[in-house]
Amino acid sequence: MRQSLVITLLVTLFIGVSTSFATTKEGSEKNNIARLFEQFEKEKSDLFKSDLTKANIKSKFEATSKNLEKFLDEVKAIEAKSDSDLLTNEGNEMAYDIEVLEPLKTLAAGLLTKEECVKAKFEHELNFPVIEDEQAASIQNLINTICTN
Amino acid sequence: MKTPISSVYLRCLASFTLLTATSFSTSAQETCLSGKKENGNLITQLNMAKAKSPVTEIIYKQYKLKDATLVEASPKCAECEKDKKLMEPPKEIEGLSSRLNGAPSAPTLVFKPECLATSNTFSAGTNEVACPHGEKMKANKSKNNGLCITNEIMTYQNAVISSFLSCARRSGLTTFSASSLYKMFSIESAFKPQYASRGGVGMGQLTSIFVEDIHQPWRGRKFLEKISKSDLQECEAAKLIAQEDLLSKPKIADTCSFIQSGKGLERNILYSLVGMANSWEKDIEPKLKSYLEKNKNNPLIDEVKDIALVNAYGHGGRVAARALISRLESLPPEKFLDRVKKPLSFSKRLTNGKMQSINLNGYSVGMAERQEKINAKLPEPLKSEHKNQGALACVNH
Repeated sequence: MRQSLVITLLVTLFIGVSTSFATTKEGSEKNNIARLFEQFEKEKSDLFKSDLTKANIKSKFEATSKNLEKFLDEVKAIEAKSDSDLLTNEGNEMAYDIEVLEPLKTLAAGLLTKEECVKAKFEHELNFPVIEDEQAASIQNLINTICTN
Repeated sequence: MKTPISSVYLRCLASFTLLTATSFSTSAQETCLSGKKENGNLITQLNMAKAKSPVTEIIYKQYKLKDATLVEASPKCAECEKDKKLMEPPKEIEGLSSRLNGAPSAPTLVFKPECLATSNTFSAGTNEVACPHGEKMKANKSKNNGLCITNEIMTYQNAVISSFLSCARRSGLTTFSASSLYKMFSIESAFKPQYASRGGVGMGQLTSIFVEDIHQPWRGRKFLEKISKSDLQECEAAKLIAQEDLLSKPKIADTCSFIQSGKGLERNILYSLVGMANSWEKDIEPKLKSYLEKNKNNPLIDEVKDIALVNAYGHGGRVAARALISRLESLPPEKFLDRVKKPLSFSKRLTNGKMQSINLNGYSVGMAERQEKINAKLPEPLKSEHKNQGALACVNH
């Protein structure tokens, strides 16, 4: 009788510890992802506020782009290690935001000719066929600035 | 002199073919798969197209479609009426009928008619447009009172899709699988060519940016050029549209040029296919390249390609489709295909200040939901086949 009571207590204790461990792990994953998302947003916001020109787009955008990719990769790594089939909203949004910056990436990688500017403007339009989120205008402004200066 | 049985049979066969065509066409004109009988604008459009459009003429000829206006005046065979037994082919000429009717036989239509009819029972909330003048008819989703779509119209649409898909494939253009094409047209318009709104026009619900994209020299134009120069028999009809459009770009604002039978409906279907080829080559394949290389021997890889491309056609466009790949590229094809069934969403603030939920795979999830609804309406045994194989059950092999 006493023995079975001890076993029950041990099992309860074990379940309690592992649940608490799992909860802590999940909480820590969420915190880490939230932190990375915040850093990602700041990097992106700094880009939108920056004075990108023909002269500096290559170095400035490439550095930003690398950082943004790095933050997403870190989120992906946390998701991959997670016990559950985790694909977070933050990761989805970061992947989406990297894609909408593609016309700037094309400009940064090119020679900034008139033709490339026309292509970048068109690609930007293609990126927002129906949904126009608030960053669309910021990207449009950057393309215009780079292509006129 | 007694008439040889085989010659009577041949005359009867010819007459029977005409009679069958007459009865098919007449009943087709009377029965609407969707819409109301009195709203015959699409029937008038098709009759005009049959009389005037070289594109329609080629499609009717290629697929040996039956034309009511030609067969109604045909004389009846008195001998056949006297003895119905004469309608049965004598054994010695059994199997020759297709050759006698002008072999080779018509190519198979890509979709099963029951699937098209079932898909056609769904409605959208947008306006319908009557061509050639482009009058708008107010949408009434709850009542099936739109423009009448007959069997003949649906069969013609099926033939146009079959012809253009075959042309695209033989020209080496990458588009969806036929089953995904069925899913796509089912959700875009329910195979009703007359829907038009700011969100999209016609069968493929094309937008102005989509059409512009096809005409850009560094994006879709080369696909139109390829079709316009094709010597393939399958491209005979499609090339007429491509050649004309390369000389003068059609505008989506001229709604009927993307809706009206004869050129518009056909243009809409052609552009849907060319747009996919363009999207694949320029947007999706480069993003999926290393994944395709890594999983090239996996039997599910074509399904992954299909679903990745499908999402680019939806309202999230290429951005959502490419972001989706970025989210799932670490998974093997089995898991990729499993995970893509569940929404991958987030919220974003729009320019008008409102928050909007964006779903990276909203389009493919929506298509799957529509297929479930279609399944509930399909007749047996197709319903069971569709339950097991999905939209593949709607494709003729």
